[in-house]
Amino acid sequence: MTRKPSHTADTGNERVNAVQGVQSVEIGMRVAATVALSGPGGMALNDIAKATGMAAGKVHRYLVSLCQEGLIEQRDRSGRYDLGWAAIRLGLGAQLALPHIRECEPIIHDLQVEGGLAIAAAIWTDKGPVIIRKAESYGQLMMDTRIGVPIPVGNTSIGRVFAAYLPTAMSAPLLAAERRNNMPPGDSMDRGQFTSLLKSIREHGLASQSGDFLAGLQALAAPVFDERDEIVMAISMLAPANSPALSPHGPNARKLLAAASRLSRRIREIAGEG
Amino acid sequence: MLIGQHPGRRQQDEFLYSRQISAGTIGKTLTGTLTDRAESPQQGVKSLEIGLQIAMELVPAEVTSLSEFARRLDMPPSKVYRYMVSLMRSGIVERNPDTGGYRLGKVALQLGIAAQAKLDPLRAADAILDELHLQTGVPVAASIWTANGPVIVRRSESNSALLIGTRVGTPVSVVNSSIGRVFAAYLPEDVVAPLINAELADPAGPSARQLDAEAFAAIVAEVRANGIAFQRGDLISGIEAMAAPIFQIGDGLAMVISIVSLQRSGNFEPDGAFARLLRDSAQILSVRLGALEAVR
Repeated sequence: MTRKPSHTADTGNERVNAVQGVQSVEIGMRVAATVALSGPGGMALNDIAKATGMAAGKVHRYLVSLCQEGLIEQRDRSGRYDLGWAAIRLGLGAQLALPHIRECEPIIHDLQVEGGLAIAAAIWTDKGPVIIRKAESYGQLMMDTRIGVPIPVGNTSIGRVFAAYLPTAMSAPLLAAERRNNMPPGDSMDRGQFTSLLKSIREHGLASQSGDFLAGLQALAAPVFDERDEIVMAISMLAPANSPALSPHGPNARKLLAAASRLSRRIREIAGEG
Repeated sequence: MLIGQHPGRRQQDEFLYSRQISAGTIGKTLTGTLTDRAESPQQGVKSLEIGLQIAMELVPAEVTSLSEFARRLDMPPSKVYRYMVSLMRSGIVERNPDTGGYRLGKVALQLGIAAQAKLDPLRAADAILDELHLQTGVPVAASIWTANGPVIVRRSESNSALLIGTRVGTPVSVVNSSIGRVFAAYLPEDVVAPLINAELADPAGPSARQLDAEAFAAIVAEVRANGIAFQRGDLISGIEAMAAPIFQIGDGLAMVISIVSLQRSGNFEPDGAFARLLRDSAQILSVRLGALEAVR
């Protein structure tokens, strides 16, 4: 087979395309990826057709099969389409291939022991940091972090940890967008102050913040590194702002730092075993 | 390296991806529309469905031998390879550079994160509660853990003349309710212990019914063994109840769903029809909330 892949080929009636793939799988995944970009209410059939450049009748046939397997679900009331349970399961399967995610669960559960603290582990995505695992606090104050939702770079401890250790080119576009949306990093912090804040995070290996993202909360976050010393995760502790729990020099900060370096060590071990 | 081979991880066979929880079961149990669809099938794209099923097979672990994988799927290896080619082009699957194996890739990760952001656990619970209520005809509830113990946050609609059970928002006993016992069995001990000890020490509480810490620990162990809590005389004497855990992403306890009945119906036996329906509903909701290992 020396023919080159062709992504512009025919209409999908033909099941097997020139380079021995199954074209309907590729078309179906393009439909799913389009639905993934929709807002909270999902997407109507006609909008999916428009966005994919496919005829509505054809899109519908693909949606029937995507719904059959649970990758997409149709909302009962609106009839709009959105990602389904199988998308979550596929994503979790992909996460388990990543050592830092696989290994973070016991570590964040160990951190949960202190009452009133919520723990979150975040990875970096092109939309900014996203919490992928959490341990709830079960305290009086509901501090439930949302898994999967991108959080700001500039004014969260998790975001600042990533900004401190990632190449500037990766965080700069998101920080610029946050400034444009009147969400500067911290109250009236200028660029110079933010740069020196990041420097101090690198010195201490820890970001500490109150009024973090949501008023009334304080947070600590520490970086986790892979075997190439690149940041792959930030682990964060959250507590109500009025509790003394999260001093950057207190016992909880030490626990967080120890947990983050334990995870970094574990990732290096796994890379060594590989 | 295979995920299942990792020493820090449970054995692969314990890391369960239940074949019984197929897409069809989950879809059908969930929405009437899908059930209807299964009865009068609309035209879909069969090969896309096969491709998605193959991708789902990679959830528990990567596949190192394509021929072995093909045997498991009962498909010719060449055909499986063609699906893999397209799954890789879509970014759903990638080759592991260390092992040469096929594993879920970046697009799967992105789709998962996008789906997680859209996930509303209580809305997912509502759909399950309604279905469970429809199938059992008895009141159904979902509870979460709070600083004051379990609190019912959702109930199925009921049109019976007499409403029984606990009102939404009322704290429920940890020691003396099937709901509370499931929380006691699956939440970290230091989260539940203070409330359990307080209830056991309360002279008006369960200790009046000869329940001490040891007897309660035995009850909790039994709940863990059964994966479900049964109780007669739950809160109010004469009521039968059972409750099951719902797990979430990371396999921690998310909530508890429960059913109650006013009279001895014979349906509340541990191996009875209601227990099976409750178990199935709990599994389906757990899958929908992103539980992996806890689902069995």
